[in-house]
Amino acid sequence: MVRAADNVPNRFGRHRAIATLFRVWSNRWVRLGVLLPILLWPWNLLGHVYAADVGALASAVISSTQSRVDVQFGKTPTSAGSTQSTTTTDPWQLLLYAEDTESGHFVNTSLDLRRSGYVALATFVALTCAARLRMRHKLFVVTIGVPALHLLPILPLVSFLSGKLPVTAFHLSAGPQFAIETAYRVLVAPPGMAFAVPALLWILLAWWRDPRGLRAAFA
Amino acid sequence: MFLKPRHKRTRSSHKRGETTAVGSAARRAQTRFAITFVVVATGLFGLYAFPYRDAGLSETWFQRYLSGYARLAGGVLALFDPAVTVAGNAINGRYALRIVKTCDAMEANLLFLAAISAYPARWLHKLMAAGLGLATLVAINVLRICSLYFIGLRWPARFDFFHTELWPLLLVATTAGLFAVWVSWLTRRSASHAPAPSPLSAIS
Repeated sequence: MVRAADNVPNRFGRHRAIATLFRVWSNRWVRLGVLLPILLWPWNLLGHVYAADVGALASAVISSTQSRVDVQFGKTPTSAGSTQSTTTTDPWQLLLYAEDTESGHFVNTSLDLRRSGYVALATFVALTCAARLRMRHKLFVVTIGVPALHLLPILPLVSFLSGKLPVTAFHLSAGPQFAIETAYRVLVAPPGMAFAVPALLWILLAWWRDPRGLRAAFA
Repeated sequence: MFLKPRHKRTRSSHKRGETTAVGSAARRAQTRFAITFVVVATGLFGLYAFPYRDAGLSETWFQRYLSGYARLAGGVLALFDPAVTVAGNAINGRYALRIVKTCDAMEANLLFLAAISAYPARWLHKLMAAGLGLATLVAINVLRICSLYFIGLRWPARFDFFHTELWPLLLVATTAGLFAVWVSWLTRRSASHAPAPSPLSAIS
């Protein structure tokens, strides 16, 4: 049997090495094994960008409730009524300062962005990039999956700011509160779900679009 | 990991129509698996994650279960470190661990149970898979807790990474692997018992 690599010019062995590298890279499991650690690495810049993104989304969600709670992300109070940006050693911790403007109660805490959403997002993106799917198929999977997983960090915020902490930004009735609390406990709290949720979502979306394509994706 | 449809095809169907029938039947079987999986998983996770009252019967029972887990892991750890003692759900020694909800790798157990209950197979095979699979997952989780004790002792700065990222990934991958092994075993078993190779094997 003649392999593709055997036909490559091999004066110094470099072309053969490149061909071998391409052959190894064409293996989807190898691609996943390389991409997942790269995406899961706690890059500082990525942490700042993701924190800003989640902060903006959370601010939009909280402002839509029109509650009397003033919530600020990435800031911590220095004196009564004033806040300033702080440089945290860990960009993957989103600082949260929430103050009830009427009662004066306030909460100063942080959200672990990796556990609450980033690991799931990175796993989903790694799976999509590593799998052998058509570009249109990949776009479909990403267009639905990424925004859905982007909502995960909102669950702990809503859960904690709807009565668990002294400041209540979300006044939910019993049904929605139960749903949010259960969703948080199932989808975010167990560490294994940071990998299981994106994997299941990816399989569902890839299968929905093209069942036979899913089989080929990691066959 | 693809499912075989349960209905019979007509012998007279020509090749193209046959492929379409097989494809749609397979898709129906896969849809049935996906829906059953979601329903069973939702039920199991709902029971596990339900916000029970702190002083209720279920929480009391759950604390006993976690204490049992701590005793099991503490017993294994004591083989390697005689300083280890267990009090309630706390493992004390040169490094202290507390077994709380989500430390029991329940998400892996429940996903595995949901997957095998949704897969079309005989109940005996499902029960065997549940017993062996859950025992394997519990053993791996005890290994995880023991390794975290020594990681906390030697490399405390790396504890979070192993606790919340590497071990959960390994547990979920093991769960998927166990399910794949079981399905592969079922497929081989049904193939060896079948009188002739079925055209449906092309999609299984």
